[in-house]
Amino acid sequence: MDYLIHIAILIGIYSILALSLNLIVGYTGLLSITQAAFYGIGAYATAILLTSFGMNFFLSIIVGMIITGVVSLAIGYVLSKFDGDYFALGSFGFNIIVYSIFLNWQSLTRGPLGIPGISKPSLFGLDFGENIIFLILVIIFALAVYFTSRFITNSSFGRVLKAIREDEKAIEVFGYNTLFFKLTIFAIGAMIASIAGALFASYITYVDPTSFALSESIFILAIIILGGLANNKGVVLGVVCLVILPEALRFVGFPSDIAAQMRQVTYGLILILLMLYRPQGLLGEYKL
Amino acid sequence: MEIVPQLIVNSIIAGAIYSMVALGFNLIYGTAKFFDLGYGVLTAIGGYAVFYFSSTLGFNIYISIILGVLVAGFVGYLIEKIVYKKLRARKASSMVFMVAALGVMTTLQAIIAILFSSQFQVFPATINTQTFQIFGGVITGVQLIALTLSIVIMFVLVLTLRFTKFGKAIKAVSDDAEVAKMVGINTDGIISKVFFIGSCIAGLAGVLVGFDTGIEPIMGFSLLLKGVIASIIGGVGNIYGGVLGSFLLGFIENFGIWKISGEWKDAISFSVLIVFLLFRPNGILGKKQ
Amino acid sequence: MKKIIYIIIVIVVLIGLIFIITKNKTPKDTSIIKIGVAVDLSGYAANWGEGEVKAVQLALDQYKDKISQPVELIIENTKGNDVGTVSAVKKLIEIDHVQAIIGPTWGDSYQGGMPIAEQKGIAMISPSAAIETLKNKEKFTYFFSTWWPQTSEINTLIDHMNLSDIKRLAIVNDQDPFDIEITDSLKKNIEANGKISVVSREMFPVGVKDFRTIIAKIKSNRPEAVFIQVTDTSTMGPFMKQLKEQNVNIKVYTTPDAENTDNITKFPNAFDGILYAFPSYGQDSSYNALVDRLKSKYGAGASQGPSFVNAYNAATMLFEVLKGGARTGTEIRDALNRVNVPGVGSKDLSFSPQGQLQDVTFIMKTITNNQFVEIK
Repeated sequence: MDYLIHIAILIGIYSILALSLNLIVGYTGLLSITQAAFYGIGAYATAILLTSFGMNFFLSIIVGMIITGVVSLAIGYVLSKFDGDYFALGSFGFNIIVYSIFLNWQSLTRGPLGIPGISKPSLFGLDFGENIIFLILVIIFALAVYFTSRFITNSSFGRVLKAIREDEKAIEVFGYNTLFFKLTIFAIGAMIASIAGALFASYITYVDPTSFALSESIFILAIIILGGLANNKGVVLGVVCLVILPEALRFVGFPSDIAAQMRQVTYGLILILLMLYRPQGLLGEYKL
Repeated sequence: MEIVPQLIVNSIIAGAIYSMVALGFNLIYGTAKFFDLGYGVLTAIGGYAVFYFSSTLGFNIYISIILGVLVAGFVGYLIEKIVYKKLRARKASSMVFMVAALGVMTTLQAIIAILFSSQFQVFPATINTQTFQIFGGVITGVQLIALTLSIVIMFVLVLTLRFTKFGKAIKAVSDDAEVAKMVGINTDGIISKVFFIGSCIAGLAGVLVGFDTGIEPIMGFSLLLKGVIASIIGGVGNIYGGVLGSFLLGFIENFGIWKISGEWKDAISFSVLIVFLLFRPNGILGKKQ
Repeated sequence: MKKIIYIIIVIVVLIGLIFIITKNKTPKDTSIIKIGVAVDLSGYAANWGEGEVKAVQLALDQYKDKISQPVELIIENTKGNDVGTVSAVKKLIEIDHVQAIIGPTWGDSYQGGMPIAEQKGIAMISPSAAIETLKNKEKFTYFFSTWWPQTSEINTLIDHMNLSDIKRLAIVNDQDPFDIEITDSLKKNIEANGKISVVSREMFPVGVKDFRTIIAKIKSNRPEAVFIQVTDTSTMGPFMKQLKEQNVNIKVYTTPDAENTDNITKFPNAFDGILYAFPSYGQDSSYNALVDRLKSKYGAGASQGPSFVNAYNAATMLFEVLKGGARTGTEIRDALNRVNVPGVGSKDLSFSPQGQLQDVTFIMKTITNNQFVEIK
């Protein structure tokens, strides 16, 4: 039972991540490949605040979100100068730079040694350490993110985002300050990703830079492309598929070395086949 | 300050390999008009093909090199035919191409790891173990060969593009594929050939890296990123630009290691990329569009 | 179309979940002892993990008839990342109900599994180092490591440097957590020692292979020797090769990782003259006997991996306490704290209060003519 809870927690955390990226890529059409950086900032914020300052977990989420928001505004502003392919390349670059900072700003992050011993959340004496209770916490956050996402995308703000995705020049003509909208959604997406980071840090009790490298960003992108861009249900579907798949493979008993590589082959083929035959993903409404 | 000549030589050595990757990458970008993120894996394919021929099958090392490069070219050609051509026919956006290319890279890297294990390998024989002194810096025979080849390839490409019918067709497709098609140029055929040539160059780069430091399935990705940075710094789509950017990147990296430290090498390279993207996205030699 | 996809996905997910749930329903079979092996079989340290699995199996072969109940090994892949390690440990403890775990590979890099084992009271012995975790041994009473205790290793190296009259040392290491730990320890001990000065320390990300500028930097500081600690041959090989290319003829010191056949086969002559500390079981017949058994069971080309002996020792100590009757997590932990059994590299394998092996002596070795040779 505990193992199922473990899988469910992972699905919850990745759902939050995927939903956050979907706002940026799926709804606004910005091919951002740097979400792992914001995931990492949230995780490190919680890690540092909990281990060095004994701060309350929930407070650390808020602090983490603020830090991530500020950083993402800076990065988003620079990226907004680029379009299309260059945006993606620029975002690559930022992911690598942020990763480098995690790795080398040793006085803050302890670099490659990582930060162990992160405690589980507690609030007014209620301890979320028990796995099932932590799962409930994750589910609450995931649902909150899901409904927030839906709210944003169904609102008039969301309609402008979709218009930017379809034809940015056209909507600019109508007097909309597209830069404002792009920056706002970029920051919102980043802040949501940082929530996932905080949950990750507390759950695994240990963070180190390797969890937030470029490959993680590519993984999150693959999830939303598979599940379907601009469709939140599709996104969750994508998460379930790509998180359950490797765990289920554990039980099938491939020789492990081959199993891990087969997983990569599967991801790669999924991306290629989707792009060739179904670029909107399983349930998506937006073709890249 | 006796370190400076060696640094210069190191920068040139690094630049030579990067420029090969940039040359092929630029060639493909010029004609197919997208950032082929799957290009890097072709270096690994070239390297592993040579490994297979020389180690497993026991062929002579020089024959293995030729075969390996051709295998890389062929794989690149196949990918274009199977994946990118279809996307082009659908007029897919360049983001679709990039994602598909990511898929190609992931799949091929994993297949190499399945076939050859993810452990690194070295070639069973080497082609040259001499070292030379140039202006106070040490360079090995293999590196000298790499440097020579990169310059030769650059000139061959430039001459081909300017003086042969094939080269002019490539230019036509680069400038405007629609018009080229109307004039009767077989754009798909040209692009296929460009992929073949570009992939051969990638394979060659992989082989040279293999002689220097060995091969592993993931070697292509960081080489690709360097090629991308070099292309953008020097000027995307411009042959000379790719080479210039590569040597510049080599200098930035090595002087960065000297003056700052080895740990920040990647951050430095990518910061330079971002600076260029911000202030001069067409690169030093790029055409202003 | 969408509906069909929906239905297919739901069916696939349900099948996956049923799989996981039914595996979970296996009742606790108390007649078999289950031992978990959580190692890296596909990630960066895959060659370590593969060797560890073989070593544990070979140890079990020695103990099969000595333990009153049959022992089943359950092997899980940590995949070389934090999430994979946590998944592997959780599955072993919560679904397979193992009574002890051997693992994880690279305890310093993947520290997510230790708190879980501690919380559930399951003893865990890592065949690789876990210096960070063992610094807080009081919080991890169930955790042990059979990697070579770093203090003796470092002191052996420093003694040799002093003997060779080295006054200026350069240090080079990559950013793997263990490599940083060990290099930090070495630096601290040298500085406390006072006789040698560290003239420079170069660090770089894991996987870098172009050291030419770093070597040029080292050269300019004129050290008499350099100490290098990196994760494996694919990095150390190019370094040694480039040192020779640039004519840097100083002594090179490193840790037991140097004794790896890959170094000799893949970079012939590059490693000649390298000096490294190594546990003193070289001529020990127990080591040779173990290697013979490895070859006969797994073939002449079977690779050991760098932690082969350590995994064998870990398994030996674990099976010894099982032989003694310990069955629950607490019994196993307490018995491990007291165990004393001959192993490879030590006549008395036993754990110090810090959870590391005690009584491991080191010797200095070098590589000449493609052989690993002890320096007398």
